[in-house]
Amino acid sequence: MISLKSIEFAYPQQANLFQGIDLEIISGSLFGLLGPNGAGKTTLIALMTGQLKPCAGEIHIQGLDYRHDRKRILSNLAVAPQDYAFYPQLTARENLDFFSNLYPQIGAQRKARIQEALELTGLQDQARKPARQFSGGLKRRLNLAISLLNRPAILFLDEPTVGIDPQSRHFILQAIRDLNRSGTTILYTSHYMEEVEQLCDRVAIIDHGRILAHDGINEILNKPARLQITFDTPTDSTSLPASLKALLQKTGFEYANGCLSGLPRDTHAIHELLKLLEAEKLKIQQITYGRQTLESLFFELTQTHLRD
Amino acid sequence: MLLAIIQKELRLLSRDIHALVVLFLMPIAFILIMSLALQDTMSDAEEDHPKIGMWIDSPEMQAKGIVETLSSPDGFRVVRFETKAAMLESLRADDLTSAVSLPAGFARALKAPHPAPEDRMVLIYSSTAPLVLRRLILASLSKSLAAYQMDRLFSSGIIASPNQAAQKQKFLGQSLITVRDQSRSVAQGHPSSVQQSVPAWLIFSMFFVVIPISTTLLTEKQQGTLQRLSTFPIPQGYLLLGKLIPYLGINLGQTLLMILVGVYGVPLLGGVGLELQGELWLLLPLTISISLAAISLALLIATRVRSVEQATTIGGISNLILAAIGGIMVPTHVMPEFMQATAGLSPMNWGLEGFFSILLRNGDLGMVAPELFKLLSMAGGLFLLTVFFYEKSMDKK
Repeated sequence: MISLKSIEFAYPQQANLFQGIDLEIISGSLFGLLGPNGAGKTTLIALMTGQLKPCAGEIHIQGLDYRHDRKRILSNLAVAPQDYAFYPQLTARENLDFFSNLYPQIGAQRKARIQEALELTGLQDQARKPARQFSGGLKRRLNLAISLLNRPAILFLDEPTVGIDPQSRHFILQAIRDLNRSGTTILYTSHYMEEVEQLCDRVAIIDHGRILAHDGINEILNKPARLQITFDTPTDSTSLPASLKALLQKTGFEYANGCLSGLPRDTHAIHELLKLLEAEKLKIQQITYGRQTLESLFFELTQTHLRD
Repeated sequence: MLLAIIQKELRLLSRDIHALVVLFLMPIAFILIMSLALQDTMSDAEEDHPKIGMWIDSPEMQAKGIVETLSSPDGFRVVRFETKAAMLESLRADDLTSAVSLPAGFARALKAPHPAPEDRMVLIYSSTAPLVLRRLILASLSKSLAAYQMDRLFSSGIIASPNQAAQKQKFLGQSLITVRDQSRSVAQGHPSSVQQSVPAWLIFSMFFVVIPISTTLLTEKQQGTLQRLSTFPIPQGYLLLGKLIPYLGINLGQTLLMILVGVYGVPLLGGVGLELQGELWLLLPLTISISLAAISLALLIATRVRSVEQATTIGGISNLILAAIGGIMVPTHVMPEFMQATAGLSPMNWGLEGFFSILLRNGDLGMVAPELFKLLSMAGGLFLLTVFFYEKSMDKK
């Protein structure tokens, strides 16, 4: 389990980024961390992987603390960063050979582990090619392969499918599923909501250094959906027909700026409302109703304005 | 683990053709070109010895062997003239330091107890000949004459001795003086062109490790590889040591190669080869000290700049300035006095002086120690600064 308690962090000459973050990621989960650019996702990963030290609070990885067990923690986790963090002048095999040598626990199994990483990422045929000659998809796969060398118990993947072709993306997503099935805890960040929806079993949405939502993916998506009816000609709430006012009071629906919205109790309630609107001859411009998507929740929580 | 980091650095360097050119080909080219180009200006050649003109009035003198005796005064070059007028013309033109004319009656003067003034040898100094040089010329001619006289006395049987050569040496004082020749360079304090070029361009190229070190460190930083490496269970100090150790090896390799170029390469092109003399084992601590100073400076630059272009510009310019003031490009002894004092501020000059102490001055550890101390202090100080800035930059990410 990864546990963050009351984490505070600030970069030098920058306002506090995190002011008391709490987060728990249970072992074996495939956890999606979402947030707009600059929300603090990469910083949070850097804190969890010991690259940065929190100003306050506690981080425990599988019950261990970086202050006392740094080497042990780092031996059992791996990071595939957003950047192509390897040596483009070296071949894929030379890169894997170098990084595998940095894990003392691999020892005599080094060659086997390199072969395993190459097979898991489908790079066997490219092993002798310098990495600088790789396409974006191959580079992403090599980035992932390096993080598999120590068979990590926890794997941090920071936007592992950004900027690649659909085939490589499919391949990487399948590899992530397989790794998770084999027991690896995975923390995954992405801007592709549908990817997270398909892949992750738990999700947290983060923005401005705060966790805005943190739950199982099904719990988030199965929350009751809102019915929203927009009228063609917006009228003041006081000039609504009396029958409609009475229905609103009965169902708990709200009316504002020509838009009526609420959580219908059942389909009968929806049917009754539409019948009444037809009888009162109120022209409808748009009706929205259905299962919540991660994207709609993301926009609801983080707003839709542009970010840097 | 550390071995893997070192191996990786060497692999990266072996694929960086620009760095290899700067580290190995550039100094070889400089050594060969500059050793040959400055050979005449800085050589020990006979042409540099003060010239004495000689005119002999009578061919009778040749037979008596006196001309040969007078023609070999140590450290001077004797130029024979057919006419007295031509010799005096050269003297007036300052081509000669002095002129000697032997009249026809000089053979008579050698035997006479009181030679007639017209039979005596005439020595005329150039008006520009320094007093010290005039004394040396006179002493040298007197010694040559004494040697000739002694030979004459031995051969005529006036002085009998079972070992004439030894007696002659004793009379002339040579067997009573132990002469140690530390080479002409020591006497004058100036190296020859190859003695200057080999260490100078070697040190210059050693400091150019700034290019590959900053290129790899900045690429690692910009690509996030350095951040990734911080998530591996390795001591963080290994990452800096992993840069220091391979480049120390590269610098030692450069030293060996440049010395071989000086000893064998320069003569192949018609130049005077480098002579290795003195306490050569001292070259190892000296090279290590220069290397550590150069690598520390390179690491500091690499941690302070933001792009490879910045590193190349700052590293290149600082190297050129250190070389220009440090006596690398222009030998210190041809600089004006105030510039010679400034040269001591450059670490390249400390290294160069260390090489001169070993190869030219037969220096021992005590003689090289000040240079070693300065270089190692610089290396230690800059390395600590590097560690400070490196850790700071990792926290900022």
